[in-house]
Amino acid sequence: MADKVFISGIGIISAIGNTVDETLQSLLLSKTGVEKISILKTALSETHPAAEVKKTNEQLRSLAQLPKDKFYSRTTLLGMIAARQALVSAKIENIKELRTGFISATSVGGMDRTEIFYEEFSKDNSLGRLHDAITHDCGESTDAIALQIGIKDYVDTISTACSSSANAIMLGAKMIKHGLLDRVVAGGTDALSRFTLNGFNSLMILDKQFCQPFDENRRGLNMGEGAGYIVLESERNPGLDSKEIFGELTGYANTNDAYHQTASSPDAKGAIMAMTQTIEMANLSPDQIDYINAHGTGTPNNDLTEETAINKIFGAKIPPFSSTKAFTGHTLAAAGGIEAVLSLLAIKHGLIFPNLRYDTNMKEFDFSPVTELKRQIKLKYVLSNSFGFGGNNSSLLFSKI
Amino acid sequence: MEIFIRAASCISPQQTFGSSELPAEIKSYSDNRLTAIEPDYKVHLNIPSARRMSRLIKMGVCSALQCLKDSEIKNPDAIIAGTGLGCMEDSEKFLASLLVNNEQTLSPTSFIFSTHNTVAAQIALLLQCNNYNFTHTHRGLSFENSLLDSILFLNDHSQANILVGATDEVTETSFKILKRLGGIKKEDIANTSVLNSSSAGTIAGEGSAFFLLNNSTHKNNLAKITALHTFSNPDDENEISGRVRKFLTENEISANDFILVGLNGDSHGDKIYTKFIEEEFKENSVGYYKHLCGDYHTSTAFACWSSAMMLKQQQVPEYFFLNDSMKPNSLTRILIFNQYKGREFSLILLEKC
Repeated sequence: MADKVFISGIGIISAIGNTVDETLQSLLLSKTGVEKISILKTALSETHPAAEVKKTNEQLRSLAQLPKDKFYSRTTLLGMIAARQALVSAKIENIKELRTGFISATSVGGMDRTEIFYEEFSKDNSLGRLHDAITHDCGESTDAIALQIGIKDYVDTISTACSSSANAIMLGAKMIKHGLLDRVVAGGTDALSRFTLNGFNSLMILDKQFCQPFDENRRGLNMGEGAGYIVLESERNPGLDSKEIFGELTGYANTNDAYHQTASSPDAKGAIMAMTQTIEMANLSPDQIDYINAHGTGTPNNDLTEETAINKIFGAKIPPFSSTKAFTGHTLAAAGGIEAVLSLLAIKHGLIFPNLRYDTNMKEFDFSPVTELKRQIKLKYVLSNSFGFGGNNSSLLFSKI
Repeated sequence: MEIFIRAASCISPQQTFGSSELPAEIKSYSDNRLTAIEPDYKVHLNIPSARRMSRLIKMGVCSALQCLKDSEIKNPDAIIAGTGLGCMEDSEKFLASLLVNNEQTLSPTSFIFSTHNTVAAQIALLLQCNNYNFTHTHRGLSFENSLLDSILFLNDHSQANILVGATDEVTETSFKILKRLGGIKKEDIANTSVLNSSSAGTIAGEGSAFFLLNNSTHKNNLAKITALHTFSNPDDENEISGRVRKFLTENEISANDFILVGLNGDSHGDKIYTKFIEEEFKENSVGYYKHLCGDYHTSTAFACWSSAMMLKQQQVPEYFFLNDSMKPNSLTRILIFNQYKGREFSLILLEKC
């Protein structure tokens, strides 16, 4: 029987907080991180709100405890902050005492720097500062963080669009179950960039107002940025019994919708398969799921598909569900990591987070997400969904221990 | 470990696509940039969506579908793809349009096809394959990490068929930037003489190779993969030699094994190999491949395809050797030894079936 995989540490930075505690406070106060764009320089700042981490790169650098003489993309800075938190939370002081991996997800890596480089370069190919070009590849942010925290037994970068972090966590768990690593820091990081902001805008799926996931009158998503990592540990690791365990990763599945490069299918095939296989892997039946942290981006397409899947799987007994993207915005490749942290916080504190700004039931279904914060709920099994472009669908199941 | 390569397909700067053998002759290049010889997509990728695909996506999808066709397996249980830089052409197109149009009224097409998972996603879409679908994009280990993922998947699902591969492209822009970064040789050099060069930098390359892997013996199997080891960011030379030597000992690499080395003509990086060639592999026949495909993040996929073909054909064409190379007496195992920018290291061991 393969080892159980426990979560011994969490780290998060997003528009609703630079630490786990700040994040929790915002969630308890129903305080959204979506605002007018003020950090990123973009022509869309007046028209399209987003959930930015309200710190400049310089401020992030000092939070990340990184040397001043080296150059880092915002993606790296955000990731560094959350990864450090995760290690502290897991009380890991000597990283080398166990075989440790770092598996990080990102959708566009250092695109925030590439944009700056390319603006100059496109005028004259001899222009553009090279230090803005070398952070372009997705692996750069992963490597920079791994080097800083001293992880080298296994380092990998996953890019499966908006499901990336969930896949990073899944791969981490597999590496432990197969005995290749003892523990893994897994999750993802993505900085807001003009590239992704305009990309989603060109697809006409950005909301110019504050997004309303799962609402009948939803108009689209708000972009976000941030990073979330969790520390996965084999049940065999020494010292685990003296640590706080946030939960066990008991199920996961990765499927492909195989319907369209960017749209999800009306029959929700990929989403249904991902959720069902995840629940099966954990040896549970759907009626045992206590809460679903939904993907719930706020786009007409995603939310209809996701509710279709939930309806099909859970039928008469729809578990409480909500999207936390009305708080954090859609943080793309970081979403699965951020929402893993939120799912574990839900388990730890017995909370179900509200689906902010929900007003009208979707006409297709007669159920609705949780709209008010729920406290003192006994959560044993929490399902977290991450669906992405390219039909990449993944779900994770966290169990209370 | 024993994983079989049922089929393999490769698009590269050499005439590798659509043949069951290694090319008889090689194509030469003289401008430090090796460009893939693409098949006639009207024949090999005759689908309406192909006209919207960039070169990278076409190379990836076409080599993957050909590999699957050759394997006579209809629906893979997993599609796993690696790429170092992803869809550069589409990314640049969208970025340029964003700047020119001041972020207004942009066409989404190039954005849609710019995500790193596009190749794996398009394969799934064309096959209507709902199974496991993954994209690794970790620099010089993007292909190796995809292979490792395949190994894990086969451990969990022993009957599975896995379509795994890697794709990278070099564009006008990426080539210019690589040049400015000093990664490409300043002077123009023929690919056929790059390995003897004593200057800094290398030649750029690109390509796509896909493999169908499973646990089943079959008369058509090309070769088997028997070991894989990777590491990143070594502290120093001692760590490199320690890790490589450990692999060599554990896998009992002997003088009979053929070594395929990722030498790329860069005076600095090649020193890392020279030490091993002179010490560990002095009794071995050693061959090279980067003068054939150029250097890029996933060049080991080309090396892996070449090795599988050599093991099937039981011969190593002359062009894999330098003038004074020792030729192999027999061909049972091939060890691919590669490093990328002194940062990522990999060892892939293949064996004849």
